[in-house]
Amino acid sequence: MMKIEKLAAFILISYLLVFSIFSSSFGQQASPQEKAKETEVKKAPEKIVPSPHNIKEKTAIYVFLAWMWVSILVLIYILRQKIREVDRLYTLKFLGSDF
Amino acid sequence: MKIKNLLPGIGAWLEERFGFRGLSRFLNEKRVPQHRHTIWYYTGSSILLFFFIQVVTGIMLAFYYKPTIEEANKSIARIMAEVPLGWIIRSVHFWSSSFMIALVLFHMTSIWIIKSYRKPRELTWMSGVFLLILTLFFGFTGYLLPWDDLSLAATKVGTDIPRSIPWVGAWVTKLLRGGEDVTGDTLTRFFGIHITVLPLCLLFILVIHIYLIQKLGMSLPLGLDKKKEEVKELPFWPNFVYREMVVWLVLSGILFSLAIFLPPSLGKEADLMAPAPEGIKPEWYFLFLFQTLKVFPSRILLVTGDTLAVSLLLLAGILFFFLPLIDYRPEERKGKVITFIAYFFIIYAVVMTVWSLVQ
Repeated sequence: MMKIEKLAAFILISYLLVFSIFSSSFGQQASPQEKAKETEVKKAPEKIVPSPHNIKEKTAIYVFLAWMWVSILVLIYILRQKIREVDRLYTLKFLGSDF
Repeated sequence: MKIKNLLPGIGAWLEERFGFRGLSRFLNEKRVPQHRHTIWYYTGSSILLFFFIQVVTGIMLAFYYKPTIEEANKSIARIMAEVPLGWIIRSVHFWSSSFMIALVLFHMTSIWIIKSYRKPRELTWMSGVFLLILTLFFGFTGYLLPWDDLSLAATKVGTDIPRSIPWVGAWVTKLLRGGEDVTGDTLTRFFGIHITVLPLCLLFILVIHIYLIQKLGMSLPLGLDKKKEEVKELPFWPNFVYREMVVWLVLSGILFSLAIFLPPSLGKEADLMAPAPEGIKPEWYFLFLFQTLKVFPSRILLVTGDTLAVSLLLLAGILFFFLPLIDYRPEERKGKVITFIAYFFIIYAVVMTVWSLVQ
């Protein structure tokens, strides 16, 4: 039983080792046509149009934008209340020059 | 020692050295007139807000930007593609500059129309004109920094314009370019000017400008200054500052939304040997000048069209700078002529800009 377990562990470790060593080179095994295509794409693009790099960043940006506008609206509401209050105090001449 | 006892102690210690009480008393006593042109008072502080955003985003971009012809375009591409949220920072910097210039133009034209440059505010106006020139120069030097084909061509055209000024033109062009042509030296020079010379000059003149505004107080439009007692006033702190904060919040929201939805793109790396691409156009704030130069005939009598156009523009600039000395008496008739010229200038600038855009 131990022998079988050891063998299984050996196979698994060797498989992982081989896979991790060669996995990077597996990705580069492309046909010459594909390689030519890749270099063509990499050749300085005419124009770089910026945009979120991935869906995670895209979502984060839209969430930030929504949060920002909600915060702005809440802050404007609070400031409006404060403006009313200080204007009322000013018309009542409640606040002196050293408040 | 308890913290609540410590804080007033620190406050008293700082007060003894800095004398903040005088400043707070000044802010409490400062008043802002309330009339139908009060809205224009908000432009000044909004310009400061965008200047602050420019400084912060500019410093962030300078961490990654490399001002050499080999690296400039690549470093911007890296900012946009690899640096986390780099494209947003660049976009905010780009849009904030446009907002700042638009507000400076609004600010200047409003002062022109309501004639706030009259005695004793001549120097406030003149320092304001310097600030306008510096702001435009910020835009001009910043436009080359991405080092793409369009920015190179536009800078070639832009730096060639002073050449038409009689006597000193060629020297000015050479000084701007750091040589006969736009090269890597021009890029390094523009970057140095953009991040050190211009901010220092702007800060220096800004301090003078703000000091003069605080010393002389907010001006009243022509006509209202005669009935000063009837004009309502509002305390600057906190009543007016709270109102300004509302404007800052709205403008910041619009700025960030535009920066996210309409980020500026980056063209392919500039090639010094390549011919100029088609449809070269400067930034929107230079379009009316660009179109003016374009429509001028190539020769008028003995003078070339370019020389005449640049000389006329220069003369207009000098007259604009010395406006408080030309329109120094509170006479209605003269005031009306100046107001008419201001409106004519606005219509002219808008028409020329639209014409250049649709071409």
